[in-house]
Amino acid sequence: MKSTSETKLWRNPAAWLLGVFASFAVAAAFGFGTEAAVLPQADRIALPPGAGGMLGTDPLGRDLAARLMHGSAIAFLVGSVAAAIAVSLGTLSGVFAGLNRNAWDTALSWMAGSIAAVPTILLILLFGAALGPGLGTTCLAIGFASWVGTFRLVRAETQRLRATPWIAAAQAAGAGKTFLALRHLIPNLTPLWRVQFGLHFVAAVQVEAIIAFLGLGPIEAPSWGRILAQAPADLSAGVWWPLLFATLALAGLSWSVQSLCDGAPLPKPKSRQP
Amino acid sequence: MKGFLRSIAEALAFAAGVALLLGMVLDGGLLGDPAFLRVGRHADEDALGRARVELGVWKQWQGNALSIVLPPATPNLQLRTRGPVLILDDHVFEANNLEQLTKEWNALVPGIRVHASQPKLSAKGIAIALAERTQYLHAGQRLQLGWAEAAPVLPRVFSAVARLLQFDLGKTLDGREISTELARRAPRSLALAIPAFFFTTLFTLSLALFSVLRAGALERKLAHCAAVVMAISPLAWILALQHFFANTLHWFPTHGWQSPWWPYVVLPVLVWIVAAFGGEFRFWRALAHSLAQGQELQSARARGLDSRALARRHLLPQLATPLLVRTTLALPWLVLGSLLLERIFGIPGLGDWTTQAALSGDREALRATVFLIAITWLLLQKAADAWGKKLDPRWGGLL
Repeated sequence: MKSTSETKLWRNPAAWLLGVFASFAVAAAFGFGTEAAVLPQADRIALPPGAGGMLGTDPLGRDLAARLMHGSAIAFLVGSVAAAIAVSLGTLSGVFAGLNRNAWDTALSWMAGSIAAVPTILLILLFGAALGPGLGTTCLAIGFASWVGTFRLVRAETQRLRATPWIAAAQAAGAGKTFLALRHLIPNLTPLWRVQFGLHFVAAVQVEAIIAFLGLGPIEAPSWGRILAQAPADLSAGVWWPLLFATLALAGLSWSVQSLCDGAPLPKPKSRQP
Repeated sequence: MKGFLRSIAEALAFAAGVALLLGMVLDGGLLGDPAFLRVGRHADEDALGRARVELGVWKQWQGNALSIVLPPATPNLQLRTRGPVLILDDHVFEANNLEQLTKEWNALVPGIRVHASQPKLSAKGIAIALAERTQYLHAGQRLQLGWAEAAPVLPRVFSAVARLLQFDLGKTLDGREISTELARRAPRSLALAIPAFFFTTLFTLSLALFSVLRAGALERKLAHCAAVVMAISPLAWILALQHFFANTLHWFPTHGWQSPWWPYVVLPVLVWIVAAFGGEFRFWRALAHSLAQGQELQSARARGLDSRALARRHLLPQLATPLLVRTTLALPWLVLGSLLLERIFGIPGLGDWTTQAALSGDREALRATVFLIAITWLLLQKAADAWGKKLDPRWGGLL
C-alpha cells in the first residue's frame, strides 16, 4: 500500500508538469532533436503551428518544439546549479554564523549586508560583465547574488535552534560545533532550505531569461531567454508563436515548482457514491 | 542621538563593504582579468597589455621583448608558467634577467635563436606577461613574447575604494563625466518609475483590501489570477503588451523619448502595473489578511462596523507603517528605473545606461551606479527603520 505522500505526489498536477519538463530536459541532454533545434532550414521558415510541426518553426526555420525542449534542459541546469550555489552558500554560512556568535558572525553579516545592498539585477550584470557571457556566468552570477536571503533565514533559525533542549543536551554531552551542525542543525533546517531551493530555482529560471535577453547569457544556446530575445523581431514579422510558447513553457515550469514548494492543494477525490 | 549615530555608522560600514566588493570585482580580478572588460576576451596580446597598464593591473608593458626562433627539425616545445617562474617542457628557468635567460635558452636548445630587445629587464616579467597561459614553440616559426611589471593588488583595490568613498565618480569610457550623465538620466528613470510605483501600489492595495474584506470566491479567484500573472515572465508581458498596444493598435509610441515626454511613459507605466500586479497583490493581501484576523477587527465587525469603515479606521492605519517602509526602500531602485522597460521602450534613463555599461565593459560607470544605489538604499533602510518605529512602536525593524 502506497504511503500518503506518494499518493499525493502522484495526483498532483504540478508534479506531473514538472515531470514532463524534466523528461524533455533528459531527452535534450541525450541529443534528441539537437539538429532541428539548432540548424536553420531555408524551406521551413516561419511556419505556424501545424504546418511546421507541433509548435511551428521560427524565422530561421528551426523547429520550435525542439528549441523549447533544449531550452528546458538549460532552464533545469541554470535553475538547479544557481539554486544549489545559493542554498549551499547560504546554509553553510548561515549555520556557521548562527553557531559562532563572535567576530565571524559579525563579519559574515557585514558581508551579507553589503551584498544585499546591491540590487540583484545589478550584481548579476556586474558578474556578467566581468566573466563574459555564458552558462557558467549565468549560474554563478544568479547563485552568488541570491545566497544572502537564505543566509539570513538559516542564521536566524540556527540561533533559535541553539536554544532548544536537545542542542543544549548535546553540548552538555561534549558535542563540538561541527557535530552539532552536521548531526542536528542542518537536518533540522531541511524544510527551510528545501523551500529556499524551490524559490531560488524559479527565480533563477526567470532571471536567466532576462539575462539572455540583455545579451549576457550563452549566445548560441537555444534557451527560452534567447527565444524571447528574438521576439521583438519575430513579432514585427507576424511570427507570434515563439513568444507564446516560450512564455507558456517558462510560466509552466515556474508554476509547477512554486506549487510544489507551496504545498499546492490537491484535487479533491471524486465521490464514488451514485 | 546615540542610536542615530550608530545607525549611520552601520550604514557607512556596509557602504565600505559595497565599495570593497566593487573594487575586488572590477579592479582586483576576483572574477578574472579586468582587461577583458575593457578590450574583450579575444583582443590581441598588445591590446590586452596596454589595457592592463591603463587599468593599473600592470605598471609597464613591452610587446616583443623576447623573440625566439626554433631551428627546423626540432621537436615542438611547450612554454608555460608557474607563478613568476618560466618552464620549458620540464626545465625550470633560473635566470634573473633577459640576458641570462637568452644564454639559458641557447644552452638548452642547440641552434635556437633568441633575441632580447632589452637584456637588463627581469626574466620574471616574461612570466607575468604570459599570465598563466601556455605557449607552443614550433620548429622554424618565430614566437614573440611580451614583458610586464605587475602592480601590487591591494593598493590598486584600496585606491579604487578610497576614490569611491570620496564620491569621485570618474568618467565613462568615452570621456564623459559620470556625475553629469547620472544627473541627466536619473530624472527620466524617475519620470517612469514614480508614477508606475504609485499606481501599482494604489491599485494592488485597494484590490487587496477589497478582496480581503469581501472574502469568499472573489478573493480566491483574484489570488489565482495573481499567481498566474506572477508565473508569466515580466519580459513576456513587456514584449506582448508593447506589440499589442503600440505596434498593432498604435495607441502609444513604440519606443523613444522626445518632448513632451509623457506619451512615451504611459504604456511602460501600464506594463509595469500589469507585470508587478501578481507579487504586489499577494504581498498586500497576505498582510491585510493577517491584520483582518486580529481580535480588534473581529470585535468591530461583530459590533456591526461595515467594511468601508473597517478599512478606513482600522486596516489602513495599520498598513501605514509597512507602506511607508516599502516606499522608502523602493526609492533607490526607482531611480534605477526598470532595466527591461527602458531597454525595450528605448527610454534613455539610468537603467538603460547601466545595461549598456555592463555590455560595453565600462567599469567606472558600473561602479558609480552600483555604489550610489547601494549607499542610498542603506541610508534609507535606516531611515525607514526609524520612521517605522515612530509610527508604530510595535514595529520590530526590517531585520
